[in-house]
Amino acid sequence: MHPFHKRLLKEFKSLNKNPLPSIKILSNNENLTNFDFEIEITNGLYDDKLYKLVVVITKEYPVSPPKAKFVVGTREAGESGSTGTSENPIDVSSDTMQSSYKIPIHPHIYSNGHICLNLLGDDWTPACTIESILISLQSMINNNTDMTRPPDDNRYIKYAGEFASKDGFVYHDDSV
Amino acid sequence: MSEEGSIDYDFDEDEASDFSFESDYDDQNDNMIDTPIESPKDKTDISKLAKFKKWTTKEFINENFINAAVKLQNLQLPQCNLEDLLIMLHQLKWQSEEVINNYYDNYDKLMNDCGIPKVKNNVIKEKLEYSCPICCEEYDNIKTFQLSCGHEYCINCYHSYLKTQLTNGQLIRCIDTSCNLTIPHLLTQEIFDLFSQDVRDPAQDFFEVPTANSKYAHNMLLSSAARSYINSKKSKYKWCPAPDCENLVELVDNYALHLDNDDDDFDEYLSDEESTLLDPSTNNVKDKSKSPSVDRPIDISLTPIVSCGTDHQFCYNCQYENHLPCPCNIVRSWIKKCKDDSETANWIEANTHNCPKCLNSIEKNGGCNHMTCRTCNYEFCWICFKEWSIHGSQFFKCNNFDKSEKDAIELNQKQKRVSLQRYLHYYKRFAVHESSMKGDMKALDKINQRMESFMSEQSKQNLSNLSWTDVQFLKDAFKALTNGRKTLKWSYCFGFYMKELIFAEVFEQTQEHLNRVVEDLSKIVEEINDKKNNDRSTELIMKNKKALISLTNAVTKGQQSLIQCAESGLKEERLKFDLSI
Ligand SMILES: [Zn+2]
Ligand SMILES: [Zn+2]
Ligand SMILES: [Zn+2]
Ligand SMILES: [Zn+2]
Ligand SMILES: [Zn+2]
Ligand SMILES: [Zn+2]
Repeated sequence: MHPFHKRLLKEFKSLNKNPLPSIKILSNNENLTNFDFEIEITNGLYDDKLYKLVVVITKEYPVSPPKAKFVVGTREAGESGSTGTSENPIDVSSDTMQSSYKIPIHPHIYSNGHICLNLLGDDWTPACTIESILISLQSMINNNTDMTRPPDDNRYIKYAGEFASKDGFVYHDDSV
Repeated sequence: MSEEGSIDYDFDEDEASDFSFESDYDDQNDNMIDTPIESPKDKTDISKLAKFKKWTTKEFINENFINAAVKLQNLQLPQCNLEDLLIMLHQLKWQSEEVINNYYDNYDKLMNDCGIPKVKNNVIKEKLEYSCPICCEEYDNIKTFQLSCGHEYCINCYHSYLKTQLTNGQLIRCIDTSCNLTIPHLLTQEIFDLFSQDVRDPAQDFFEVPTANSKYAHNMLLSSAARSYINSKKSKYKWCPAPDCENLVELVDNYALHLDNDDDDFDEYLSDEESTLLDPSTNNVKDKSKSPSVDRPIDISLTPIVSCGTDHQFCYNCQYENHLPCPCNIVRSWIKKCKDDSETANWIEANTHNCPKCLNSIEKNGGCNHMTCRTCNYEFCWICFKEWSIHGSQFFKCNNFDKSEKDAIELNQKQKRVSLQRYLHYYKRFAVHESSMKGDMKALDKINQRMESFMSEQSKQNLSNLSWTDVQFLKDAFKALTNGRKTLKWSYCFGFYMKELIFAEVFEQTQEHLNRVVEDLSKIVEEINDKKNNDRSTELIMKNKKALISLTNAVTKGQQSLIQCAESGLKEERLKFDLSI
């Protein structure tokens, strides 16, 4: 059990009770330390609308931020975001084809899914929540106009570990 | 190619300094170490000295942080309280001038940046039935903390938050993300103290006159601020490199003040060229354009060897132990060489090969190229590493390899072997003294402990009144031994780069002499420390007093003459280095 289980439980309940628009929990473990979220974005520049985000709660949470990254993977058809409630489950259209999650193109998101976001590093305080991360990531992509990877993408993904580490990051320009 | 030369400090003296918390250093001459450094304008004037000041971290905080705030309160900003002044100084990187300017030019912005509210109401209070929004625990009874903003959280959450914030050395703000209010330095410590195990003696507090310095004496936030401040001024401050030592040394004089102006530039320059600034062995970069080909003799007496408040000697330039008789550039080259595993690779390449089949290493002794692996019995050709059978059953004839190519390889291997043997000769001796030094230190530590318990035992039983001043000779012996070893150790690095001139023999004889007296002294120390002599160790110490004292003198003298020999040899160019080795 996580030492701050009560806090995690409260956050979890709140996420279920008042779900964020276009964000849903795909799965989570019993201890509430591993979450898979599906984030739907409305930015017209993106062909794919649905992205999968993994959030891992560290032992130091909430003093330290959780770890978060986008991941690739297969997506079950008809299981699209909160908007697409399938009216006819027997409908055999292109929807039943298995499609996949990709890593969103963004100047602060590396092609391995690592995210360069101040909130996941220096700007985090214990008053922030999983929800604050989800909201700021969603708006970060929705407001993006620059469909490029970070300038150091190639170099970064060569040496990156499983998750982005706070120490190694130089935060890119915040205005993007 | 050799890289001898002399220093030439080409600092621009016109650059104004804004050294913000200067104190009257002349009053503290006891802390100063004088090392002769050539003057930038007049190279013959050696009377101009580079001055270094010793600090403990605590003294540094008192002088540069707390006294700076006190001074501001006494002189320019008497309307402010000490807490706010500390916050302002902290926010503006401890520059008093900046605080005064901003206070009068842009008061509102300064207060906002510093997170100082108009009305202060910071409270730690005891609460019944409190539910904390951070940890979501429901407490029956808990302390909470809030700044004037009223963002209230339980004290446990605040404590762990403060701990993580300490690492960056900056002001700590309210936990609430959108709130900029700063937690005053004293309050951060108050919260830490609530969780601290060691209870401070109230009697001590009672007798202590509460001065500004004592109130902030153990302030963890100020310590962390000092660490990050000092680390950001690498050309001006150097931490003592001795393990567990928290002392630092400051370069104080005109040069330092000039450097302080463009610290960032300087640090960049440092990392590029490594630090050539105080390095007597290299030409200043700027000067190279003026006289690119002039090789001036090296003067190792200009090496900025300083010692910290606890007497650890180190080179300010390299931030490395006292490496005399070697000049800094030789040290850098040596360290790089030792780190480079290419030496080991060379060794393996020159002497061994791996069996192409089972990869076990095989050493070639004789000249026959028909090899048989002892592990897997694979037969192969030493030259081309292909199976022996393809060479035919005839007398050796390797068509797979050009004769000239073969000769080139053999010559290459031979050269590698010679240069490697030379390196190993010096490296082994260097390393032996390094490890012996560690051994000596352990032995000395044990003797020290035994001596201490012996003396307290003696005085308890009123047997004798042996005090540490009576056994000062023992301490002197410890010090002479470790310093002697250090000089010896570096003399082998010196020897590795030394050109084979006639005077080199004199250097080697002096080195040999130091070697002998160091080993003699070390032997006595070892004997005293021998387990067999466990009960007699103090008796042995007193019995060997005379020998210890005379060997201590011999080692100290030998150390000095070795350094002097190197110094005069280099100055007169009777000793020279070859960095191309
Ligand atoms: Zn709490
Ligand atoms: Zn607040
Ligand atoms: Zn020291
Ligand atoms: Zn040096
Ligand atoms: Zn073999
Ligand atoms: Zn062959």
